[in-house]
Amino acid sequence: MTGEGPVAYSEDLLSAWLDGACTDAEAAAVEAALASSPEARERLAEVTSARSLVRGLPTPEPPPGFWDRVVAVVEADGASDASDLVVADPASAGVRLAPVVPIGRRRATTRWLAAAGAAVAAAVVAAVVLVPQPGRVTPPVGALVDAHALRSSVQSDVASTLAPLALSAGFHR
Amino acid sequence: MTDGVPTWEEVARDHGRFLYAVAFRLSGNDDEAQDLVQEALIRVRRGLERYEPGSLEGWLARIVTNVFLDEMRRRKRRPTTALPDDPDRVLPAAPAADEVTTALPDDIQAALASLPEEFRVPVVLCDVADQSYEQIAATLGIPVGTVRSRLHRGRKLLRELLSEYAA
Repeated sequence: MTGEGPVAYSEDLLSAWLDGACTDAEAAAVEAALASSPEARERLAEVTSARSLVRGLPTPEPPPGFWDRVVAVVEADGASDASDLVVADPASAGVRLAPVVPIGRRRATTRWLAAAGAAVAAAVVAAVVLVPQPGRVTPPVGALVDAHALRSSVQSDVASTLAPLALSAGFHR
Repeated sequence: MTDGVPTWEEVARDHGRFLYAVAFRLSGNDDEAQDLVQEALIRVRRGLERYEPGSLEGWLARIVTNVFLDEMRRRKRRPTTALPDDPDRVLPAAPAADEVTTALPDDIQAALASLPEEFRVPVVLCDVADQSYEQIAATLGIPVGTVRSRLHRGRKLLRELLSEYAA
């Protein structure tokens, strides 16, 4: 790119310069810095080394049989998509191969099953803890209310009713 | 192939190794790379109707990167594996600077895998998938200037990690 003003050098430009991704003005700034600054040259050597090492990595190979499995999965995915839309020949629908569950989806299914199991377990625990069970202790509410009403009618001031509680909650060590 | 659009089988046959190489360098291990390639090819098959002839490997690199980033986001939402407590497991203790230039592929891959994702992805897209800065910016949805700085920082970090390995 031409026609732009001078650009200030910044270290980020070094990688772009290496990759041929600088404008003309940026390239000029980098080259001026490289000519005058040992530090810029050192930084350039570092990123050049990292870049070459990654670019020189061998092409990894998947394990034997991988491509056959992938093709089967992708074809099965395509077949399941097609069966969602229309079954052109109902007679042939019965002979379609069972779809292969993709690895990721298989993991997702497992996670959902685990989550569903956990939810059921939580629901059972909640039911046991929260739902009133027959035979649980049932306080004699009616009798307590009657007793309270009787005491209130005898001791009409609230403070004297509470006094024993206040004493028992004193500053004990 | 019709109208310059390949079938997904042709993509798998002719570009499968490319997809696997990008997936392997992004994820850092074979099992995850296999999952990524499989999911990417499923997306390729589903998306071929929308593919406009152009840089096929650019399109494939974008798909496999998106599959990888989706997986990373999913893991962040539901972390399943505890990170190792011992930092030496991530960054094995380290040789002289000139030994870095002869680092073994396993060391380079280990250093690449330990880069933060935001630096690793641009490095892999540039130096493994051979994508331009503009293509990387489009894939990641970030400005070209951000691609520059992340790529540069990623390479610097990689060099530092390899120096530590070599020490």
